[in-house]
Amino acid sequence: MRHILLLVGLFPFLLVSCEEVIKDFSIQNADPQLVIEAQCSAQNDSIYVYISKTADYMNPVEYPIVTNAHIQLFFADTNILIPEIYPGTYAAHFNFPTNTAYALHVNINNDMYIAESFMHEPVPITNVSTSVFPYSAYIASYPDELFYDIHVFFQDPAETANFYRIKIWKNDTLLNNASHFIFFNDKLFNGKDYELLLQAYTFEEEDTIKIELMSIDKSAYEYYNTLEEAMTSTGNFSMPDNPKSNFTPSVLGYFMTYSSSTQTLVIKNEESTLQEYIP
Amino acid sequence: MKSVILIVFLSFGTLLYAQDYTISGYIKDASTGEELIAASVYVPGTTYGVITNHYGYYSLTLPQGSYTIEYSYLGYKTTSYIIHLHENVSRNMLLISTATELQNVVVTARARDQNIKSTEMGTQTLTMQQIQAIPVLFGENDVLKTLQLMPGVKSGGEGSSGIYVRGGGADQNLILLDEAPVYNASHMLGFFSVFNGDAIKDVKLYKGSMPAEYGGRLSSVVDIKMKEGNSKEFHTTGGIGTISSRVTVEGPIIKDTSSFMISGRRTYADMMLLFARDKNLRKTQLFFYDLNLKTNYIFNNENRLFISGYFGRDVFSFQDMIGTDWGNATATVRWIHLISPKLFLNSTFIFSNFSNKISMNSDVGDFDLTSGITDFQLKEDFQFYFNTKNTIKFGIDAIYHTFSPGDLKTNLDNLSITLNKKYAAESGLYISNEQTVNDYIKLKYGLRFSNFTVLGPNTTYTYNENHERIDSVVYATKSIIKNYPALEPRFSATFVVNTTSSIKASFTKNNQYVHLIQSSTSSLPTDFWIPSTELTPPQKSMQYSLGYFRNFKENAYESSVEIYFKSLENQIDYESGTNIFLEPDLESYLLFGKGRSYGAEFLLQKTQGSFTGWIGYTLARTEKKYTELNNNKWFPTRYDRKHDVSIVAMYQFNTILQISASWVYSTGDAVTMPSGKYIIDGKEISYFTNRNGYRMPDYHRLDLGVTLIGKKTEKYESIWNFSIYNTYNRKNAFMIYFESVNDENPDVLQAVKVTLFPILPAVTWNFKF
Repeated sequence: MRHILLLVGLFPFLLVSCEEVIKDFSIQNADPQLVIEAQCSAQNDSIYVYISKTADYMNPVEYPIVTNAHIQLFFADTNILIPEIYPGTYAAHFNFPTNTAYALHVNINNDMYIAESFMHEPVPITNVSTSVFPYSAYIASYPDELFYDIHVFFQDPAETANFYRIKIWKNDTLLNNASHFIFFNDKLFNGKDYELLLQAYTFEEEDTIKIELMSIDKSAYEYYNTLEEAMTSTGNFSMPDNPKSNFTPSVLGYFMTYSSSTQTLVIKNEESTLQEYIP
Repeated sequence: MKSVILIVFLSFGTLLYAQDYTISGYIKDASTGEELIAASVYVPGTTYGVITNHYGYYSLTLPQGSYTIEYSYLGYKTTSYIIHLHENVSRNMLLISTATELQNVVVTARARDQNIKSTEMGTQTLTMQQIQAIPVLFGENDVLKTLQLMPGVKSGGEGSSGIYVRGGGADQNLILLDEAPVYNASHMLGFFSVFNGDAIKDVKLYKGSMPAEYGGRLSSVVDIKMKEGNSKEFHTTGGIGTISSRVTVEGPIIKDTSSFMISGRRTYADMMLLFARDKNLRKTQLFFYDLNLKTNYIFNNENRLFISGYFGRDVFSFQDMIGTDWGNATATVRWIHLISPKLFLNSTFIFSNFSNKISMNSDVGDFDLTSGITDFQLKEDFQFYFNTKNTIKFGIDAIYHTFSPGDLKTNLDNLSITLNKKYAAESGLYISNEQTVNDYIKLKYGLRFSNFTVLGPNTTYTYNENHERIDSVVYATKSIIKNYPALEPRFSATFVVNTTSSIKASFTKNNQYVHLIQSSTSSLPTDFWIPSTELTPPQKSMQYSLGYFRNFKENAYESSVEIYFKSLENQIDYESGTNIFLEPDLESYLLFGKGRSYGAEFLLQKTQGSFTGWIGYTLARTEKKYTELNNNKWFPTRYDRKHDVSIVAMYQFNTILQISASWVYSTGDAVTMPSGKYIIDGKEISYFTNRNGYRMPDYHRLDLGVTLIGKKTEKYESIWNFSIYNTYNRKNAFMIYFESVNDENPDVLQAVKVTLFPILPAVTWNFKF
């Protein structure tokens, strides 16, 4: 929202503004920092842990990987070892129970990093539908094309605070850049039937769209919330900070467990919607 | 209480100093009847002297005898006359502007050595003549941008009208328009201030030692007075500029008794969009306007009434999709009553409102987001010219605040949110005395008692560390939720070394009870004000300053060096990732930290002759510290600029041509940039180390201006104003981002700077008839 306003307000000045590459500004790279990303999914019955280090900002070349970590996952009365399947990638498969608390212990050269996460029950997608994006005509770069919005319906459980993330696949490709990063909580619609609108994705007729509604926990939501700021690369108008990790001691990255439900649809020409649409 | 004080002072005045007599009255501009603020009245060769107060009133008490009394004011001919004082005398004085002789404005005279002798330090006064002569962006004269050229005052970045005084924040300036606080003094994201130069008479900035009559903000007071309106004849002035047009009408309602002034300004940036190729762009609205109104009525020498108001709005809309509407409205009703020639009473009723509305329409639903603040204020200010050595000020004021932090209305039944309105009363009681101890020492000491009362109705919560409500208390209407009383001493002293130099020192304590919550470092309409509550303590500051003042060449050159140290407490920030919009539990996310600012300010000024101007230099540092941020280490604030230079020069060639130039240089802003990156969720994420640990490139810029009188007769005046902003086209960095060097190596980045304003000429035509 604030970016929209900022752009809109600056609009008349952007007409006269200019850009050029500068040489008298340089980034001072910090020493490589440990990064642990761990995702445990009830949908895929899997846990993946990636351990790496930070790289040069201007020219990363490669992200250093961390091998030989000893990783254990604790839940219910069980614990499993997570072996290294490729250098820096650790994975295991299990029929992970939902509504259960998990704890991840990562031992790297005798330094222990611990994180906890709660796996909620999945929230079913009750329906998906499409409609014509009403401002298609305004997208100047795609003249005479019609784009579709997708409506996702689900019933938010009333008794708990729920946190969600949505993943979208368009023709089997995961949409995964920063603008496709959708997560939210139920603060505004707790316990209600909710309709989520996915707009401005340039979906077209005959596209196959897969939607995954992930039930994540509060720590993952907070991590994403603080991650969003770090994804916008610079702090020209704000003071970004590193995202809030649930690891102790704190490292970059997070541990998340989630359950999910999915729906797939193929976008069809909608005569009725088309008629209502007046460009 | 106040009547007791009054009676005590009155009886002292009559009993002890019965052998002295008082000469008092108003000093006015001879041609317009406008009262002159801070005009000087003094007896040459003695230490007797005063300056007129905010309303142009003076009162000078002298022992019985014969005196030569001189009246002088910046830009006016000094007038003197001889009086044999053996009874109280009321004498209104008309001064003739030198502008009428030279056909254009030259700053020629000044109350000689006022800067040496007065107790004031850390203050800057600007006249409209100065403001109009200095070149600015788009030729749009701006009070606040001119203040930025003074040492100790930093701008909010390229083109910004925001002011940051001695390390203070944007919300720490008490900006008063005819005594009404203006909560958001900017238009169009801060590029223009809301003050239309045509309607303004006088501007005074207090950077350090605020007098006790002001309170409620930590860093500065910007006291702006509107013109009263010409009480002798009708005039229309106006201008057609590059981005806006203005018109002002003023004149007598009853000659010398009552006058009015009405002034309007509107920008037309959006008019250019009418020629846009895209027909959708043509439907875009983007403009702002200001309306100033003032009228007064002089009942008699003892009673006068003033009514003034301001209304301004920013309007933006893009088709029917998104629209915003925000702005300020203020109103002031003031009654000046002379209880005696020595006792001046100013009673004021003030209304102030800042509100903003953002509307969005989409096929999902329509949204209206509104927020704002409304104040009602009553003030009683007494000024008591006790005797030749003491001028006492005392008074009370009370403000009733209503805060509307956010209200989202939609046509979807389950999505409307209204954050509770918050109510509070802010009150102050003060007394101060300006005392001439002897020929060498002058003191000004005062005490302000301020109190902030958080009022019901409201429900307050306590929170756990997860921001979850764990307890609540419901308060009824008008019940007291929390009281914050505080004592604020104000002290300044002047030691006159000789006729051309003095040393000054001051100490000030301030409290601030209203806080601006900003979503970014630029001024956005989504910023909103919140009060102190039981969870949000008041901001506090202490400031010490020491200065050396020296004049040269019979006061033709004035110079000063001031050093200051300021400590700040309870500075508000919030946790990373906090969504400040419509967050009912926002207070649980607020962080409170410490701040410190210190520096030295150098000023060399030439105020007389055809060549005038100043050189200002500030060496300063401003830092903040929060337990929760930056590993509890001090970090610089964005506007912590170590070096800050401004050079302003104006030269009057002849009666029709004046040129002016200003050059500014400052250390680049402190910004937060990454120091590495890593992959999460298949996306590249920046790694940050030190908060505000990077510096933008240094900033510098030269502006030039030419004022040319096209035609001037008794009845009609036509003035052309040409200006060039950023004359040598310095490409100052407004923002920096990173992009791939080329497509083959998308991971290899280079830094790219965005420059907002290249060299920009502007022309304005001003007229007067």
